[in-house]
Formats: sequence, structure tokens, C-alpha cells
Amino acid sequence: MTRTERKYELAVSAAVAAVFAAFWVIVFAMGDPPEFQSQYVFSAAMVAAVATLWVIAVRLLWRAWWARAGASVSAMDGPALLLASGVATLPDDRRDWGAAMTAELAQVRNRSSRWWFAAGCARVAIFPPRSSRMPVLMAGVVAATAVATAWPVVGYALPAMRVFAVTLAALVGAMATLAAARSIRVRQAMPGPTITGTGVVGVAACIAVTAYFLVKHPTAAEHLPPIGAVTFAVVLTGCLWLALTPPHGLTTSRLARGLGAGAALTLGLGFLVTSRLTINTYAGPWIWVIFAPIVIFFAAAAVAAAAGRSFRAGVQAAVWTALIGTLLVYAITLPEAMHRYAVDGWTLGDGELGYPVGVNLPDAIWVLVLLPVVGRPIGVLGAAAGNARWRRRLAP
Amino acid sequence: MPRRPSPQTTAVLFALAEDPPAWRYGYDLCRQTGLKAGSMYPILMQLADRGLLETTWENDAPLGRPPRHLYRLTGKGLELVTELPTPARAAKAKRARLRARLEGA
Repeated sequence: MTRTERKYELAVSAAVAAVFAAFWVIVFAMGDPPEFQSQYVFSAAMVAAVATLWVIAVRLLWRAWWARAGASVSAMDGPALLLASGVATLPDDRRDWGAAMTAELAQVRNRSSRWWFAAGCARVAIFPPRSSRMPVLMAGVVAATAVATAWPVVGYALPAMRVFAVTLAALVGAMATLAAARSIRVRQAMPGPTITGTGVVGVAACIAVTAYFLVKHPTAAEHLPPIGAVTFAVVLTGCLWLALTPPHGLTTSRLARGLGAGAALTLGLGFLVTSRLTINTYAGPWIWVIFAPIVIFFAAAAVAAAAGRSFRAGVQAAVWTALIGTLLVYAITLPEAMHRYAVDGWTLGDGELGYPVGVNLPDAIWVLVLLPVVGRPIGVLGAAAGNARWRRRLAP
Repeated sequence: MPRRPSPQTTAVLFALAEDPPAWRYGYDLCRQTGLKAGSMYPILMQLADRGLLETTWENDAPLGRPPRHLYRLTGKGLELVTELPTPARAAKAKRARLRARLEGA
């Protein structure tokens, strides 16, 4: 490993660790003070464990990327790096213009001129021109209308989901406007009908079960504070983005998509079975949510990497497992919570008595965040293991 | 009716029309017209999208340097240029309009 590579890797690891440290500080700064000092230590240990997983996963991803692009990146100066970053975001139908701008930058000698040239080209690459501004305008108008009407309409029908509806409308609207502004054609690369269909239906199902839960148990509204509603909207928008317009690098392996969908189904079904088996016990399906992803994400990614003979295929399997599995588990959580509450009056996750049914809602949103955060780095480890295995087989 | 090109687009069209058969580079066009790359490339992309600009890649790029993209006007592009008022003509028309307005006032 070269010194430059080590330096970059250290910087990336530090950035990941800083994000988790900031998260821990923000959570404690915003919440009520914990009852016991030990809760600080326990939560810090949990965050540190997940952060360690992410640091390892990001280092693996970084090494894989560096092995492909490191030589050319280390030869670039600042302007070239800036332009290369912009060009990497170009839609497929504008890629040749990215190469054209890159080639021209090589002709610019003066340092400040290079920066100006690269900055201008990077802006063009991020927002390439359109022959007609009408689709962008239309998308923007529809988005603004959706945001403006979401508050009164949802406020009238289901006030508890008002903040969620406005946030979702704003985020999806921004995403659609950006997509319309960035390409002369409607985006062509999709992750295939299984992922796209399941992802979109999954998002719709999550919204529908939440609305149903709040209609059936109106007091649950007090367990959906604005921060929870915004988090829910952000996660669902992320899921929609992955299902509809994922980065090209995630769509290359059909095998990964199949394995990801299969693993997600296993995760969801296992959750359902655990939920049913733990009724009238002191346990709940959280035990499944905590331990099953370690095996399922790892195995799906390892098999995809070994069978697809690439680390990238394994990473893709982990991403699709997280996308569909998370939506599936959330969509099962709330109906199961209502079912369990009707049977034994306990909360779903860890089987606790004496709490209102509404506490299941923030628990479910927490799972929506936790599953991909824990599952994806484990998947990356699995991809590395699978990749190493087939490479060992190839070795003489 | 097609939209009237912007002054920047007009400048690029005239720069390309100076020697129609010659292939031109993007950076050279920037220097000639005084436009920044952030303005030049969107114009070139749109001209190419509208079939007014022909593009090709450099064949004999030296080793270790990426081939450059080359541009020249198509027949349709040249036709458009002939319909546009030249900068001198445009300035003359502007002066005439100003004079007429002053005389009217």
C-alpha cells in the first residue's frame, strides 16, 4: 500500500468515525437526559460497535475503488479531480461531453485558469443543459403544488401524518425536479422490475400501514414527533431513489438483485415467524432484527460475490437486501404490533407490558433506520469474504 | 418559430463560421469568444442537440493525452449564421433604433 493510499484511507476512516460520534452527541443533546450515567456508556459502546463495522466496510470499499481508479486519481491535480468528480455524475447520454471537457482541461496550463475551467465544466456536468426547460418547470410546479396541498389535505384526513406528508412531498418533488433537470431523456437505467416494483410497492405499503395504524389508534400520534416523521420521510425517499434511479454501479449484477430479493424475503418471513412464535412470551422479534441480519446480509453478499466473481456484486446484493428487507420488515411490524397488542397487550419488539400500542410506531421507524445501518456494512464484509474465496480458488 | 439565439450563442456561431470547414477545439473557442467553460459547453451541447454542430474526436492525439473533441458547423448551422445579424450589423441597427427614439422624443 502506498503512502498516498494510506493517507486517504485514514482520512476516510476518520470521516466515518466523526459522523458516528456527531450522531451520538446530537442524539444525547436533543433527547432527555438519561436516568443512569451507564446509559451514556452503553449507547457509546453500541455506536462504537456500529461505527467500527462501518469503518471496516468503508475501508474495504475504498480499497476496491482505489484498485480500479487509484492510479489515475493519484496522478490528478485539484482541478482535474474536481472535474472528474463532476463528470462521474453525468447521465449516460452526456458521457462523451464529460470526456470532451476532460480532454480540454489537459490543454489549460495556467493554474488559476485550470481551476476556473474545471469549476465551470463541473457545474455543466452536474447540471447538463436541456433542450427544453418545460419538463423541469412541470416537475417543479407539480412538486410545489404537492407540498402546498399536502399540509391542508393530509391535515384534514390524518393530522398525525402532516409533517411526514409535507416532508415526503418536498423530498420526492426535489428528487423529480433534479432528475428532470439532469437528463435530456427520462432516466433509462433501472435496477430491474423486481427491485423497482418491490421497492415502490414497499414504500407505498409502509405509508399505508402507518396511516392504518394511526387511524386505528389515534393516540399513537403522540409517538410520532416531527423528528420521527421527518426521519420516516427521509428513509422512504432514499428507498424510492434506490428503487427508481440507483447509481449505475449498483445495477450491473442480475444475480445480486435476485439474491438480494431472496435474502430480503427471508428476513421478512423470519421476522413474521419470530413475531408469531414469541406471542405470550417475554421476548419479541427484535431478537430476529438484531441477530438475523448478521447472517442474512453476510451470506447473501458472500454468495453473490463468490458466484458473480466480483466484490461489487456482493455489495450490490447487500444494498438490495437492505432496501427490500427493511421495507418488508417495517410493513410487517405495525400490523403485527396491533395483532400482538390485541392478543397479549404487550409491545411487539421486546415484549414489554404496560405501554400503549403507540410506542410500536417509533420502534418501527427505529428499525427502518437500524436495519440498513447495521446490515449494509455486514454485507460489505460478506462481499469481501466471497470475493476472497473465489480468488483463492483461482489461485494455482 | 425558432427562438432567437442568445448573444453568447451568437458569438460561438460566428466564431465557428469564421472558417466553416475547420474543426475547432472547445478551449480555443472559449479564448476566442471570451466565454467561460461553464457557458461554452452548454451552448455546444445544445447546438449539437439541435443538429447545428458536427462533432468528432481527434484521431492523432499524442501518446498519454486524451483525444480532444472537435466542432464545426453543419449546413443547417451555417444557414442559421447567415440569417443572423452580424455583430456590426446588429450594432448599426441598435444605433438606428436609438437615434429614432431620440428623434421621436
